[in-house]
Amino acid sequence: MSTLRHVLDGALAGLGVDEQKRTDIGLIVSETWANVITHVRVGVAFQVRATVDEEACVIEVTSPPDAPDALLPSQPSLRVVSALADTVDVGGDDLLLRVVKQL
Amino acid sequence: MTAFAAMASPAADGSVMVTATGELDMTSAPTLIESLRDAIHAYAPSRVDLDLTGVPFMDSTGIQVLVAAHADVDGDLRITGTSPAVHRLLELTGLLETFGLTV
Repeated sequence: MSTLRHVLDGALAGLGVDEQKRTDIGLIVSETWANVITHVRVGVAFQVRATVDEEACVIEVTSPPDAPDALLPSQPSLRVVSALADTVDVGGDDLLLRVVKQL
Repeated sequence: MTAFAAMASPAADGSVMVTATGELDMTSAPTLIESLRDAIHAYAPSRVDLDLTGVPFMDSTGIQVLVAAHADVDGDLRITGTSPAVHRLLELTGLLETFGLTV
């Protein structure tokens, strides 16, 4: 997960995004993953995807259809994500979490 | 990216200084837990001073380690230095004062 964080940070730096926002986005990625990974079963493939354009960074976590609910909204990690992001949507089909941070 | 490391050294006043370097997340948290536990067990310190100046990134996994260690030394764990990103996370989680830091 730190690899995604570093690659994303490089992409954001290339777009000229300031360090504060890049730090926040790094934390969002790490906290999102920390929330999911603490209670998934071995062999269940969750996906974390980050999309960046000039206006926003969108981080989405998707799960396979038969996977148990992998988010624990009460955990400190999601409270940190909520404090840092512009919007946080939980749930919806295969999408566990969608976080948007305006750039 | 620097590998995470934490070194403990006892001081003459009965306290222990623990100096951490590298990114503190879910992957590296066990290293800090071990260092703090070993230092507390070996020296039974009156206080633990933790220098996080060399930690450029920390997520809530790191926070959980700090809060647990704070309880292990009966509340006398102080953070003597932070990077801006670590300071921001401690501020977001309302823990600056707990660890003897100021805004």
